[in-house]
Amino acid sequence: MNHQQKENGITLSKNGVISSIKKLKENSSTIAKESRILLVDDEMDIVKLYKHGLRRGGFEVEAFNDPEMALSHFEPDAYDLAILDIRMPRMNGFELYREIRKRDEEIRICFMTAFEMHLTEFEKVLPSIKVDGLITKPIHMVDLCSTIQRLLNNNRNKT
Amino acid sequence: MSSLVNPSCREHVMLLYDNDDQRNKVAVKCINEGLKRGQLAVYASVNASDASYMTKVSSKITNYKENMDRGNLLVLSLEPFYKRALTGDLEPFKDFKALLEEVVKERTVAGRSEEVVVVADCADNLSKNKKFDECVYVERWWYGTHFEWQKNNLKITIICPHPKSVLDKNLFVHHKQQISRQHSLTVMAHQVK
Repeated sequence: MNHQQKENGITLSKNGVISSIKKLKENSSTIAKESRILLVDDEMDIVKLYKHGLRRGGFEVEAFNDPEMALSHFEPDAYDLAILDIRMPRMNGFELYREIRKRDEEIRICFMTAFEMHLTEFEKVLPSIKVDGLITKPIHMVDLCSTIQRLLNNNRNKT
Repeated sequence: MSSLVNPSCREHVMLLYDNDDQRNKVAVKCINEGLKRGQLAVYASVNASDASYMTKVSSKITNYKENMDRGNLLVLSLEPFYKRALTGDLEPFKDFKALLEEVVKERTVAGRSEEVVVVADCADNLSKNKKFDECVYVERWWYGTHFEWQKNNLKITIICPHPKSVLDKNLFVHHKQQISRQHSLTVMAHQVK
């Protein structure tokens, strides 16, 4: 049976996702299984969906739908990568970014946006913000996992 | 011309054009005038990912590469915005708004001009393709956003081209009025000097 799930414009076939992630695991020996991801998005459905998918992709995920709560639980060196939505109530992704940077200068950070933009162009208009990637929503889980894997591999190559 | 990008203008402009050449010419004029005034100029177009189209447009924008590199000019592809607007999904617009507000904040802190001119043609393409309900929906969102920016004293001018040849047809006059009502100013492209 092929269960369809449609939430916030994201249509996923559960069987399709599972088989894609299995394929990703089989094809990739470099996947960072122990990598810890901080995921912050105010939309609960997105948080649940991505958290589930990332865990299935082999990542350890701590997810919050409240940026202030995410910040109060934040500890330096606890995560390899933070994925932040840019538009959230009370504290947007940019504010959360700045607060996280104050606490951890080294952490890799990605923004999730609903529109596509090249990182180089982003850096030119927001030079004070140093992020490692921009993830365009909606994103297929297998693409999200491979994007994160690539970012973390870049991270290792740098160090 | 100066009224469109004048810092005190801060209008949400409906720019009625006769043909694509005229539209592009006025759009580029607005971008160049904004750049001349030290404003952040945003050229947001459904055609921005079309290399040949952008080659033509970029050749007319003053010091295109230099202004891009210095963060004075932002070119954004609205193609995904357009596709999602067709389904009533304005999430990309809302994220773009958040980005723009952050850029203004950062420019202010850095002592750069806090004024912005945005030329955006998503609604233009919707009206051109007679997707009037979707077009009004997008323009209503811009109306609310413009109102909020004015209230918060953000100096952002939004210029929305629209095809006069389509909207002047008897059948579509009602849509023209609906679209026009979402703007704070309507300007004829041929009158822009």
